[in-house]
Amino acid sequence: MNAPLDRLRRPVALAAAALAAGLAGCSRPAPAPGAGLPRVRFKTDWYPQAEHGGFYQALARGFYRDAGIDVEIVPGGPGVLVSNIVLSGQVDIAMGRSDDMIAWVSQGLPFVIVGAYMERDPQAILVHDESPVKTLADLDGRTVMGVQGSNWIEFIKERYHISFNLIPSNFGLAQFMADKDFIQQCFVTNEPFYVRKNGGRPRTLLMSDSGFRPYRVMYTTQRYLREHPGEVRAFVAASLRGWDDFMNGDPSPAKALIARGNPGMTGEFMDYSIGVMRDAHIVAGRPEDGERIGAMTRGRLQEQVDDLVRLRIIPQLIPLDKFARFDLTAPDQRADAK
Amino acid sequence: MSRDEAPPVVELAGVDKRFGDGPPILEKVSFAARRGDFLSLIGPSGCGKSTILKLISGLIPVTAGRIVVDGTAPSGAADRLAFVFQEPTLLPWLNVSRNVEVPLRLQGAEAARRAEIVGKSLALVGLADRRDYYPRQLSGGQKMRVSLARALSVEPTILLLDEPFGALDEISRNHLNEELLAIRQQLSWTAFFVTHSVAEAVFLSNRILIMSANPGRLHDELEVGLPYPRTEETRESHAYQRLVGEVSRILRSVEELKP
Amino acid sequence: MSATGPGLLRALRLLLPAATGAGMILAWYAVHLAMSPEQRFLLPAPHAVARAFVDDGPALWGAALNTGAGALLGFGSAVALSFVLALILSLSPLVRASFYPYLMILQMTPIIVMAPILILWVGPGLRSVTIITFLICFFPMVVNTTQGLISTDRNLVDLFRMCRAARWQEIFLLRVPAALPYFFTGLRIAGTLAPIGAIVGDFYAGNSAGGQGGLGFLAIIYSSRFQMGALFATAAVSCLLGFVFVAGVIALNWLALHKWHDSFSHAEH
Repeated sequence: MNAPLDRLRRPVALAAAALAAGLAGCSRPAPAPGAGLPRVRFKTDWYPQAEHGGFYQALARGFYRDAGIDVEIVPGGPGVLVSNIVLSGQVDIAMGRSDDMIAWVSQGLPFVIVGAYMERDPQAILVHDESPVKTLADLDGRTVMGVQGSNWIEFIKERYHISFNLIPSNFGLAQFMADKDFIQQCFVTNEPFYVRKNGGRPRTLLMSDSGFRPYRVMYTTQRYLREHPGEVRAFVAASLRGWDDFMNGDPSPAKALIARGNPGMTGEFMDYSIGVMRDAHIVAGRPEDGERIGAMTRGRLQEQVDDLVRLRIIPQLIPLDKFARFDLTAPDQRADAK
Repeated sequence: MSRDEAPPVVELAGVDKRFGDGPPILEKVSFAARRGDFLSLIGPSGCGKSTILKLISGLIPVTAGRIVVDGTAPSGAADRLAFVFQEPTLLPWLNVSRNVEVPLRLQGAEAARRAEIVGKSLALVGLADRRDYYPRQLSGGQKMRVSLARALSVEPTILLLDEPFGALDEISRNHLNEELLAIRQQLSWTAFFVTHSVAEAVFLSNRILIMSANPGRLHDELEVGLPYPRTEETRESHAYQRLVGEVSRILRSVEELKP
Repeated sequence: MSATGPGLLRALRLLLPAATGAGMILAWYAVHLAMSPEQRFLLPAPHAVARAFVDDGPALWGAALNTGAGALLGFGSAVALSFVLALILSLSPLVRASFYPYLMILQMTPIIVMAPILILWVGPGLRSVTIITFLICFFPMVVNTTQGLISTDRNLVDLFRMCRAARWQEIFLLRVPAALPYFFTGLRIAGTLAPIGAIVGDFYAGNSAGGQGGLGFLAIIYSSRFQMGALFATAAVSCLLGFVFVAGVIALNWLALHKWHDSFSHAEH
């Protein structure tokens, strides 16, 4: 196909320039770890896992140091309210979802999205293979275990004109394993692995297939961005570089760090998650839709704002610039690059 | 058969009482009551007078000795006995007439009979117009009268009264003493009356049993020869006051007996 | 005191709380406006809470009914079963000695720990919420009612014995009515706990019949979305539910006891 090749010419030139710049930098001795570099604390939403792989890769491969910052990754866990921790200033940057960001900013919270690290949210519906639920529309009239307040619930109900009962999630798999008709929310990179390991046959329905397409984003407070723009920029750039390397290069450095931080984690499980992230286009998205690692378009964010207003999760439209910055990703990582 | 020759309605023979391994409360108590007697039991604290009432009523058993009530053991005579406690012991959630009919209800009497008897009992104690009142709306004296009416509602042969008027002031007490004797005129029961008041014992009874304490023993007995019916004028008579003096003297000597 | 005295006093008793309330609302606005723009979302303005009542009204009142239903069912079954158990316990000191330690253990176990276990056994929804509420209400009632049944006036028991009352007569005509004040003490405690129990149960079990949760369910949704106005409104509705329960118990208390119990005496006649 000719068109893609044509489009490659300019990016290749830019990449060559970047490579040259990078190589030039290699002749200087790398600064000692943490010596005098500004500290950036980044909060994840769970224990270390492959879904955080790009960040751990950037840390392990020294990309943050190269960008001039000393990053500490602070894992989250059950019951940890990441947003509160960011607000209180205990951490500087955190991971979240763009739809939550929109809802929170519309309630007056002073957050701002600084970049996207996954093009698709890995949330999915988990059923047993023999379940009669074949599409998301088949959830009609059923009972689903999920996290109350999740926006996908309202979206799915409205999109397919269905209704279903919600029971609060206990983040476990006990009920699912015990009941062949059980339906619950899951991460497509996570729960199915354990179901198979315990002899079950799981099937997943990806939520983003319904048109509910939040980004997985990095965010911080307005104030932190105002006072530390350089650190934010460096963090976003290095993180996306880490994700690229994690998905397309050798993920072992990240896997080693993750295993060290999460004793229960196995290489087999991480490989599974990485495989799913590839197959389901979680991180890089679909090229034919114009998606790349780190791409974050106005169009898609506007679509989400419109969705949330239509679902009456937020009372009125809010301008994109109120909650997102599009200029923080490095030029070679923007949507129209590569 | 004259009254003196008739068999006694209540007889105690050599009654001992102790609770478990405790000290003896009563020792070798023996006396007999004739039908129609009004017997007062008086003595220092701890002499077991209330215990004697409880033994006669069958609420507690004797440790040794024998009690015969109207020809049988106390437990067999339950339907002929009535007890008036130191406190009115009314059921606070029932009104006056329902309180009075409690023993009848427990016996299974029918509503019509209950209503008739309750009416009569309340009339006897002068509380017919208070039949719908609740205990908390009554004075101490009124509550005691209800307790009395309740006791009378079973038409007892033997009436056991344990210091029923002890908590009342003197004027109320005197009134109730007179009412009690007036009721006695109409009904015929044999009464056992425990009291601390010598005046009351003399006014009410035809026989007074004086007890000593530690252990409880029958110390002395007195006949009260004053004629019935007795009124407030009786209290002013020489004979009454002499008897009060005599009983008081005996009581004092009993109290000095203490080890 | 002049003729206007009592009237003035009565007027003041109505006006003063209203004035204090108005003052508190003004203070609320003041604090809200004094907060930095970044922090202001933490304390929504009174009118934002009022607007949430309007906007989310159907969800709030529906949730209140759901939670109320669970609370009522749990409370009602606790009352019934605690009464039966109290009757059994009152029969003999041996029975009490056998069972009290285990009752105490069950009472000490925090509901927060039992709730997830319960949900795995019974499944979420109204059943779990009812059981959780039941467990919270059950023990105070058993303890109080048993105490009442064994504390009957000795003389009254003697009276019944003298009248040769059968055991069931002694229990139902004497001990049970005498125990009513104690029973109502337990009822008051349970009545304040029942809505709390239902809301806590709701957190874990949800109550999402027909897609509608209870108040605990809503609280999680609103807090996850930082909808503070709605969250405050949920708290207010929960408070109201508590009031309704307590008022109900007080009314029952009055009905049962006002004719005869000392707690309702006016001045001496």
